[in-house]
Amino acid sequence: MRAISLATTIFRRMTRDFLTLFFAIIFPAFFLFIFAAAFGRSGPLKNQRLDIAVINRDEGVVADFGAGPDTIRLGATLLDVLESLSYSPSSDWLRPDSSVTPLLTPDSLRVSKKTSAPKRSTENAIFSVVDSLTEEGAIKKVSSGDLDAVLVIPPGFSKATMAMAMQNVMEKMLSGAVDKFSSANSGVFSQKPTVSDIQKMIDDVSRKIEKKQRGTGKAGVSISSLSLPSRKAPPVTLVIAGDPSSLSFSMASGILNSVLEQFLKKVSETSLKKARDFSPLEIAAPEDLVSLKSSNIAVRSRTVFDYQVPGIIVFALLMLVALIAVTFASDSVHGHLERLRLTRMSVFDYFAGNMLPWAALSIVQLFLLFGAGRLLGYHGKGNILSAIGIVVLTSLSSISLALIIASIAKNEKQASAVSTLISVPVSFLSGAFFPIGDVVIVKNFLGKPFGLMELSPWTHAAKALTGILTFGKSVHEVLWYVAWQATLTFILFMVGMILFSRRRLAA
Amino acid sequence: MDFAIVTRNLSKGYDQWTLAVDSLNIWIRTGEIFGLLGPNGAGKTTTIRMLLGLLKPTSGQAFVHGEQISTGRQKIKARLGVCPQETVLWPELTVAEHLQFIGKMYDMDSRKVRSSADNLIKGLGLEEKRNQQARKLSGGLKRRLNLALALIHDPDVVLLDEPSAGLDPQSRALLWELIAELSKNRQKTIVLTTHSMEEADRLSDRVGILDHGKMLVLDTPENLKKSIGEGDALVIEMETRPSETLVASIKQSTGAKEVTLHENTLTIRALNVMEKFPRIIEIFSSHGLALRNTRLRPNTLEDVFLKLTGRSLRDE
Repeated sequence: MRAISLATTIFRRMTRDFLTLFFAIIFPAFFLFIFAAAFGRSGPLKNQRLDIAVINRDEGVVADFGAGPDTIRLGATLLDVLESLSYSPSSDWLRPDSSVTPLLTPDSLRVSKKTSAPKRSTENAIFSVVDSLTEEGAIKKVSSGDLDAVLVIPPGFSKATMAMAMQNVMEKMLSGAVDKFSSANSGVFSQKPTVSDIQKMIDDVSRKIEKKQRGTGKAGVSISSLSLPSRKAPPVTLVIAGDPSSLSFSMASGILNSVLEQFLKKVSETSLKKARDFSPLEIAAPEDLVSLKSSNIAVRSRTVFDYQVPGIIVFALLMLVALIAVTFASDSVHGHLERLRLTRMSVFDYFAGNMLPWAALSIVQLFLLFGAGRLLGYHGKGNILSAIGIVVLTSLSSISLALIIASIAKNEKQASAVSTLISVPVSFLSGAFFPIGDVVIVKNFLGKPFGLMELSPWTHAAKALTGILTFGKSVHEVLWYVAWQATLTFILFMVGMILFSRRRLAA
Repeated sequence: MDFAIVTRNLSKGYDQWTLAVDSLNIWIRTGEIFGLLGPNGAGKTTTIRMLLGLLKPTSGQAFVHGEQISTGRQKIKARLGVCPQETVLWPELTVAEHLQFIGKMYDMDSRKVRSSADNLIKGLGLEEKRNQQARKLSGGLKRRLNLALALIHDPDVVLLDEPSAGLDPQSRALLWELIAELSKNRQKTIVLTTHSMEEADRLSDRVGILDHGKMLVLDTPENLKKSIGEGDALVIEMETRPSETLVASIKQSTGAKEVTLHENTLTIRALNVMEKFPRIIEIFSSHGLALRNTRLRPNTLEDVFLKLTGRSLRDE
């Protein structure tokens, strides 16, 4: 009852103290807003647009697929693909396969200049592409932060790409010829066929086909009359350059890798389709040329902000350390604690009475920051009610740390300074804002490496909250972190309680 | 006789060389107003803090209604009320909320707290400020509320540490009235620490004079004043400090019981001292000394302290 009275009084004081409310609620919400602006891109544009420069040195390749010789410029086509790539408006899943497909029709292999294929709306575009810079100019712009990355398409890109595609086409055609020859001869090879066997097979199949065509009157196209791109070309390397410390560059690099992989496959697939048009042979369907869903792409379903919202909730709870430590120190310095010690209040009453309002405030913080986060573009779909226990536990960690600080601080000013000195680095090191590398202190602890910052309950709180709120996991799935957090908080609380009792509550 | 507070050789030392309270032996009767008089640093507050169990004595024992404080503190808490020297309030709480909060901390039920709070708010003239936050109260009203918090749970023993310090005359008069009423009508035992001789003299049934942690004397104010002699005191302030020859000359020619010199002030204590005034003026003229001020007053506790320590309480 006394604890409830004390808790009610503290809560009442809290609600009447603008500074406490500001630091406990408004300040973290303000932080959330800054992070949302930086990483969340609130509003209709939910995903970050990446500024890249493309240096296209590709000179193209001349080929004749039966309609006369033409120059294929795949560098220009790739540029078009990048410009047209967009985040899907219906969801946040990036689908480069669907973006690449409309641009890489069989006709697109005949373009002799930059394609004029219709581009998607730039509203959800992934890349903002600049293709008019020199390599040096582009690098300068990356250094100054004006660009996120530079993609250099080397000379011979079309030749090398088409060579890869032709290798695939010939392999398929050969496979078709073998099938025909086998069925024509009603048998299988007793041993591995030689090159001359294969040539013989092709000639044999060709003769039969020509005979068949003459009989049906269909005008066939002789393979020997075509001028297909060479199946041999020197290898080329595309270069993606940028600042490795930049998060945007990492994103751009990941997406470009995926797009390029998709692009090469699509060129192969398109070439094969083209080959089917002029070849009377049955070519196996390109089952292996299925669309690729890269892991890099999947990651872009969430923004960086989505990882930061649970971290900011933990940060807000760490901010409580200073407020609580100052309250405890103020109680000691201004005689409130002594006044209460004169009453029938027990040590339990004092600690419980202080914990309840701060725990309640932490729940208010959770709902407020979660709600504000959602308004600012947070995609957390987890059950907020499951997070309440973790948030209360985290507030207990903060109270424990505050007790330790208030035990050693001589006044409120010291308590505030020491709290800030501890809680700000801890919030960063606990991975509240972004994941950071930890110093492994035990290589194998219960089957996992154990890092130095895992000694901080807030590290586990951040992981557990991210699991629940961002990934929608259940408490059971984050039990490992909760168990660690509970254990560390208990130890911290015992230290805090003993220190405070001895230094502030004893006669 | 029933004693509310008893101390036996109660001592407190903050270091190994000095004792803030040195072997204090007091017996405070139930219903008595006991004044603990002494200059700053005499050991009054340390004594109070030991009686409240906030400080552990270095040696000795203290009892409240027979219960030893060191072992039965939790039991006697409800019987003790204290008004600390510093005003200890929660700025964001209203007057009524303060009283309700502290009442609840003494396990009082809501009805009792409300009734007690109403009486105190009325008795201390805080009705108009009932719902005002403490931060908006004037200094005097804060002190009144500070006192109300000591009384909310209707304790048997009330310890008032410098209760009138910083009070305006109106609040002081109200406080003195309340203290007298608590003792007279409600049989409360009141321990009052003060360095105001007037307060101790006027309110206390008995006064203990404390200096350097030691109890110098303990008796009723009347007996203490009598102990330094019958009659009145003539206090003469001069422009310069007179010589010892003049002091001896006055004592000899007037037959005064006591002539004390403290800086430029001479205090002559004698029966019918005014009859001797013309002779005193003559002596001053013969020594070529000019008088700045003279006044006649009865003996005070200040005189008692001066006699006992050779110092004035006002010097501290």
